[in-house]
Amino acid sequence: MKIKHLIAEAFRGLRTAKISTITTIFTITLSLVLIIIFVTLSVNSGKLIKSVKEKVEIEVFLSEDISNDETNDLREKIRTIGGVKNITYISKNEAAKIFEAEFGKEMLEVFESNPLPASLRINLYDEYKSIERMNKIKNLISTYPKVDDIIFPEKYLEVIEKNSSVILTINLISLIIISLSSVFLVSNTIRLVISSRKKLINLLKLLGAKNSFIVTPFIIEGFILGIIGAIFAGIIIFGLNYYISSKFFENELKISILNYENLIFTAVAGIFLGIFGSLITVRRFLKKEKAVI
Amino acid sequence: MYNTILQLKEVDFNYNAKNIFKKTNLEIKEGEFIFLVGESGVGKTTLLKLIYFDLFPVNGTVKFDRFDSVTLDRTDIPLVRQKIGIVFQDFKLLNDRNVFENIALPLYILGEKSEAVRRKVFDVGSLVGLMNRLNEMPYDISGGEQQRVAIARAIVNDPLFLIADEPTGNLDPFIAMDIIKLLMKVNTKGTTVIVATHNFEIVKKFQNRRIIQIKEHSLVDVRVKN
Repeated sequence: MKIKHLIAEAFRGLRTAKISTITTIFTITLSLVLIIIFVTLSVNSGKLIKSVKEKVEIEVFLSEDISNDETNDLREKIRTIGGVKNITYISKNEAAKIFEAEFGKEMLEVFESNPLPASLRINLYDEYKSIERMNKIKNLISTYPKVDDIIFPEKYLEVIEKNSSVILTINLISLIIISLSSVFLVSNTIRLVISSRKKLINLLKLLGAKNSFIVTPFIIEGFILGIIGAIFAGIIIFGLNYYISSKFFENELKISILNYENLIFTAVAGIFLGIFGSLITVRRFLKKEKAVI
Repeated sequence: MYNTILQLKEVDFNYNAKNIFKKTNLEIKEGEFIFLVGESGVGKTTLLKLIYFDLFPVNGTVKFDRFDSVTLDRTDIPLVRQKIGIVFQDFKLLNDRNVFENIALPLYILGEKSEAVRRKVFDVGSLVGLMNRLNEMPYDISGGEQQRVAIARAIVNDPLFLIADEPTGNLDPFIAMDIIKLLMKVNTKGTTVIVATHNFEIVKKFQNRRIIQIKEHSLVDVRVKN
């Protein structure tokens, strides 16, 4: 089997069935753009959940009469608790500055002296940022002396915990549906290409061609269509990325759909769609064709 | 003594609950030239399809060369067909490639090198008288020339057996005679040839050849009287 001949056959096929070729490229491009947009949405929703979670911390308010040594002792005790990543000490003055920055100076002027307590802000490792684990840490710290109050955004965490699993499940199901529909759509479009060459396939069988000889040009065509589809999808994604980054430049999430991973994924998915779509269609066709008297 | 190249033993074949062949036997030796005659629809094409394993008998055996319809692995069908050249009534030429490429198709299937492909296509092109037509497209040449292309494609890989299904069906009498003469020329090179036709006028002109008629679901050797 001469690969040169098979490649030439593939190009001949593409040239002969121009309309079907264009339709297939369009279908692959569209499928890839949809998949990439969806993957990006999934990845970014994951990132969003992670970044929100990163801001969750436990704040331990200290008694008014706590000394420096007692503060240091308390800090050391907390440091030994499992899951504690780092601890930041917020003095009374720093607390006032933060308050001023958030609510303005006027609110504090009502008081004769700074009413805000010093505190320790405890940042935990991600796997410890669950309501159950944070409550355990909270209960443990509350047994330590000179601790006035302990807070963490429990309600906020509850919303994240509840929604993140729902979002991830929806994402996964949608991605599977989109991917399967893409393969179905592409293989049906490729069926048009193959139907237009029934005569060739039947003749090749009668002349003694093995299935591999008949199928290979279609696989090469699928590969070429996949690559072209991926290039177009890449161009569209590049345009979308440019539009989104100019619109959301200020967005701290910096949503980006153009990165190396996505480009490689587009190329691989395009080739997969093209080859797989061709293969299942042509094999189905070869099995279905029966002799007619 | 010539070896048997094709043998049908007790072959039954039905199509749409209609008997086509009943306990049919046939033996063809290497190098024979045979006319297969019978009215339209009597089963000529069916017999040819049984030979190149496009159809399989309900009972009995079709044996071609070393291949047997009972024991044949379906993946070996391409190997059988690579030993058989087929000339179709409707030519089955591909309009997206020129005459050279149409003739070369079986050689590409065999994976022949470009140089061998060129040499063999030129040899066969010269044999069928198409040397000045090799670059033409099939739709730009006459019906007789198209049939020559089909014959050239069928013999380009030196098959053991050549099947021609109504090769003169669409041609005028003079060109039809030329085509039969061409098939005989192929036969003189050692290829066994079977020509299915309903044109008794042509068969009458070649009485010294073996003639097989499909009659009452069987195959019988006949002699034609002038």
